[in-house]
Amino acid sequence: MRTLAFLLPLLVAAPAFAQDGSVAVRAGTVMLPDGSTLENGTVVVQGGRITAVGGADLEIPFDVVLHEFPEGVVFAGFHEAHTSDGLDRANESVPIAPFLHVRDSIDPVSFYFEDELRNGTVAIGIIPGNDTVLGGSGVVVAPYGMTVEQMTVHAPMGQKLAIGPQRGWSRASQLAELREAVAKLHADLRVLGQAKLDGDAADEDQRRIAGEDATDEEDHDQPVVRFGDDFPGKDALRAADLDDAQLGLVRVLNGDERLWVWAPTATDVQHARLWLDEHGLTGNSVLVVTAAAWKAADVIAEMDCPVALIGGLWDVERDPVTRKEERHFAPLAFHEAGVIFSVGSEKGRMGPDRLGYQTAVMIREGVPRAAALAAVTAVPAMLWGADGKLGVLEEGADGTFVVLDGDPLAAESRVLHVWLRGEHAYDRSQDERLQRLLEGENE
Amino acid sequence: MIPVLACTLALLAPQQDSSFSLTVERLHVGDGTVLENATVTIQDGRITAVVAGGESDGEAAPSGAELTPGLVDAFSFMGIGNATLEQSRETTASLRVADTADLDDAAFRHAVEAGVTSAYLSPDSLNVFGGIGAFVKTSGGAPADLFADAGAAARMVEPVASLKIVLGSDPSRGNFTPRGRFTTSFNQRRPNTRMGTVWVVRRDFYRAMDYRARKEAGEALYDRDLEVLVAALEGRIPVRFQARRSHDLQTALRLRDEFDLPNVLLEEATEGHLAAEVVAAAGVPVVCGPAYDAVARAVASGPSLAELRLLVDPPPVCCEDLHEEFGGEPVGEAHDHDGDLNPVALDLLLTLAPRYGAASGVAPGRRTEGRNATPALAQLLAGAGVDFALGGAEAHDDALSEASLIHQARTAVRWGLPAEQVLPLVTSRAAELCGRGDSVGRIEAGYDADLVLWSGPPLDSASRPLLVIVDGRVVLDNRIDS
Amino acid sequence: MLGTLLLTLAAGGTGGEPTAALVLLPDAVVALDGTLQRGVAVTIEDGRITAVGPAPAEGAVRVHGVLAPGMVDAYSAWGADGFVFEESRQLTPGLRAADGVDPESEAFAGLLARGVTAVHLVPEPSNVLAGRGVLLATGGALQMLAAQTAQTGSLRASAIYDQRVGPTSLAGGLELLEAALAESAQDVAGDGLWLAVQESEGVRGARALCERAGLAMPLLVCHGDLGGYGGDLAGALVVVPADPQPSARAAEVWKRLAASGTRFAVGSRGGNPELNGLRTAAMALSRATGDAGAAWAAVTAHPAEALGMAGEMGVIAPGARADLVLWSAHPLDAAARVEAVMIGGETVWRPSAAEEAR
Repeated sequence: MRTLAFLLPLLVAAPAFAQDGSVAVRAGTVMLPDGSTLENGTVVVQGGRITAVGGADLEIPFDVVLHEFPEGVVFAGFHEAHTSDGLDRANESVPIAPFLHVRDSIDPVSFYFEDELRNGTVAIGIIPGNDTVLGGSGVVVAPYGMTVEQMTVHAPMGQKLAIGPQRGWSRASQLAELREAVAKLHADLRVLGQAKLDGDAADEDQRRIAGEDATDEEDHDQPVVRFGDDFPGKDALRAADLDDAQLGLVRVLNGDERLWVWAPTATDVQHARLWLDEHGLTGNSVLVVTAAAWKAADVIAEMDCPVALIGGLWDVERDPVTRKEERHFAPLAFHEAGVIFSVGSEKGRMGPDRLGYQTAVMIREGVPRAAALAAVTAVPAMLWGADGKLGVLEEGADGTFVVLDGDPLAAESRVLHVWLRGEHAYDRSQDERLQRLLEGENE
Repeated sequence: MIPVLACTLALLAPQQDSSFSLTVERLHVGDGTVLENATVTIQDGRITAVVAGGESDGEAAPSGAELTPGLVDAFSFMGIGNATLEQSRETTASLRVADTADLDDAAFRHAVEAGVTSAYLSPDSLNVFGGIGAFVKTSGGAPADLFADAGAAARMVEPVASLKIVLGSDPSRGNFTPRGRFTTSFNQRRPNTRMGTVWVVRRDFYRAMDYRARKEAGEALYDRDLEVLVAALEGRIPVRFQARRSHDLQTALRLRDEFDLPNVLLEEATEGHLAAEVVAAAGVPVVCGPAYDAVARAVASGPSLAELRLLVDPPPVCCEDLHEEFGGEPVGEAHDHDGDLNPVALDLLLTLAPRYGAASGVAPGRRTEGRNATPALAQLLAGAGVDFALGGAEAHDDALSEASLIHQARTAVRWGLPAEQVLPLVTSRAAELCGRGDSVGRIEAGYDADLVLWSGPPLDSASRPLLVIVDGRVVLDNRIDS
Repeated sequence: MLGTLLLTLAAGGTGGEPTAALVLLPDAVVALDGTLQRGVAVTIEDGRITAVGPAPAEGAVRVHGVLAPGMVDAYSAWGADGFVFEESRQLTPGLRAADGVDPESEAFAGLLARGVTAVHLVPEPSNVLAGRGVLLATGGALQMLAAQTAQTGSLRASAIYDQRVGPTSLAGGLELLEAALAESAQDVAGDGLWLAVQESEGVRGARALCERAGLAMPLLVCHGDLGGYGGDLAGALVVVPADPQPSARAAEVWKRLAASGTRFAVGSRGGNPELNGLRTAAMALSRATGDAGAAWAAVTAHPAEALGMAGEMGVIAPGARADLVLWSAHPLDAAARVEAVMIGGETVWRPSAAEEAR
């Protein structure tokens, strides 16, 4: 019964509109990437991509259906930069597990996705949780689709690396585990490199003995190890020669993947900085922090690393003598230090837990509107490596946007429609579960 | 933030006897009317004049700021701690929270920061006759805490505000029938079902009627609890029934009819929308508990029975569970780990917790009784013609809960209540339902000077309190960037 | 009990012939304000101090060391024969600690050796009204200095929690107390009421109750975090459990309380259970508040005042009992050792030869 109930809204929400990835929308207000708004703006999407953004007089191709919302606001939608919701469990119990991928764990019918779509979230960066050392790979999904492949919007998202200690571990053991894994990798690579060279030489000998010519086959694969000092066989090693764990760690150290580095507090940020500098990986890393890291805002600015702020926006400390609360608003601290940051929704609190609300809170506490909006649109896209593709309403970006009946940050604004890559994914008037709540009947 | 001249601060120094005036672009009276360019004058802790339009000789509020009455929390658990919870009997009608509430509770400070200037403190919900609630101002009392600022504690205004009766599963929580053991604990003598709880209500009301009759006949009797019940029967003290589920609300109405209770309110009413017609027809007002602005909480319920069984009685994991007795005697059965969670149970809990974490309310009672909650409660009650106000319950315990009264008002509007109807629900109507309609909840001459100056429209998510004034004293000043 | 035959009830003296006046001239005397005064002689007669003044020309006995009043443990568990409490009922105001004294208790010798001359043994505070205490001397012909002291009890929910019939909370405790006092306030608590509290509601509730019952204000035994309810204690004399290592907050709390006029009387029950707990607590108090005199009074004069024996104990002043301790230095000095202890004018303790060899 419950399973059907989950599916029903998704099926019912399937719209009557044509689903070929093309749509045009004209609305009272269109919110542009630079923060300005376009009155009576028009957005044209073809083949899943935005082909034009313009005013009321923008020409619309004859085969694209136009929908008009004179009182509506078109907005790029909310983007959850980093979460491990939507998975059955956030982490494996193995500390070094770079071979894990969230696509094997995402549950498309989870209520979480339905609710996110209802709140106007159009892209979610799902990645293994923080209770790990090297956690695995993530992917950016839209909260709509029956399979993970249908949901995937952008891949790869990156790897999770945790500097902040696992549950029950100390910081010292966490860093030791990481160092040990790297050291072990170095040792293993040398052994494998030598073995590879010996193996290749043995193959040569065999061919000579058999009277064959030297092979003409060229090895098209690239050397897989592209970091660190040279060692015999370094250039000979290929991806197939390494096991999953080694390959994952090699890709991390190569700098092939975005690294999402969990460094919750200011102390962890310092350790993250040292480790990343040591391995030359600061350039393609994102620091995943909690509000407590506001104290390290200047350090993060020096690192020139962007930040994904997850959990609460406030850091609360108690004076040990007077027991008075001291509160600091982390997004404001980051903004004033010049750090680029995204914020996440905050589950488990009594009040609202959606991204739009968090953005309104930022503005309430003094963060300028443009920076607050960027924190849930363009910045998550940048963190994912999807600049210009997600999070903005401009030509060439994905045809993904939300239509609301008011300013997206206003308490009384409601999400009316959501289009994902030109496909109509949500229609409030067809949202059965919502209607039931509004009419006062429940299951 | 618009910087304010330093000299203006002197005008609003915390002096009770000084008189000062404040001029704002928009002033919400509290009954739904809005005055433009209004000036309010305060003296000796009271509002002496409210003048709209034109001539303004008061200190000008920052541009865009709006003034509302201080918010009145008509259903609050601030300061209600273990000191108030006497569980040895189910009828503690004579125990007043005014005697044992913690007026230094940090929750009062959090309430002030959210613009709440007065509140009705409701006894906890673990006894059938919970006790007598009190009405307080959230600031102005002499603190017992050595490190608190002067006047930072709550101030008792009315120690005898209302009698509390609790229906539902809370009063029977933790009680159970003893099986084959000699009973020593009161948890095994108290009722352990809903019907047992209602039986206690009936029994004690009948005892009260009998007690009254015997006293009138001349017997010299005194029972402190029954005295309070007699006062409730005669309407000298209002009665509040706390009930979440719709059938508990109907039980409350049934009890009201049975005993002709003249002065009755319903508290929390999580499923009020399912009983709205009945409540409206009975003409009984409702003070709502906080609504969670998250659909997830409203629709997801707890773990299934199979999952619960596994949690309580998990299978042995492996030979770890079949270990040897001390001394070398092997034990062939699974050991009972008292209080320890079996690894399977722990795993299941971790798996389930994120899924159902959003569904659980804050207090244990809400976890099971809140499964039909809806954030649209205010809109549904208003649509059915129910007379109600909004309350915060334990929202203020956490400074960052974002569930305080103003957030409840914003949630109500988001979920369909017309915006112009919501402010009275947290000001004038809330005060009236607490019996304080003549002194708080409005900006009118003669009322207590409890005011909140917001940085913008109060229902705007980006608005915050700039000034909070309680009894004419400025207790919060956020106007200058610190 | 056999032990009771050995106890003598006497206001002073050891039962022998009255002794002739003894004039002691120590290196220094700890004065009322806690400072050391030199050249002061103390005259002792019939177990009491009769004069304190400049040294006479002759006849004074020179002793090397600092003479101080013996410490008084204001709220103690020392000297009990097992536990002293009655669990079968919620209220036991008729219980007397005097009936539960173990005269052979080994604790007394240890306490004597550490400069504690009197101990106020109270029943276990596990009831709202737990019974009356007894004031014992730790040496000499063992004696009760006062067979019945004030009524004691507790409003701490954790202490009085009773799962069978309640109370389970402060509210229930106040209810019980009110009922008990309503019947016969003077009988029950006419000699004084000591109540253990740990929150402001307890303080305010207890005071309101006593006022309604026509009793003197209760003496509060303050547990838990005093910072949370210290505002209600300004100017009062309160009993506190001994705490030799206060946290930063606790130290700041003592400082503020002292500044607001609160005076402390230290007791070992509920605090540091070591035999020298009183002295280390006084040292901690001195460090925290910066007032050595008040800290020393907290283990001498203030406990005496709390027991209604101000001027009779805990001070070196004419009329006080001759319960004196000779220290090698100021007693709040960490290096100070006890050289001799006198109770009721009679020297009852000296370091043994073995200890001196150490």
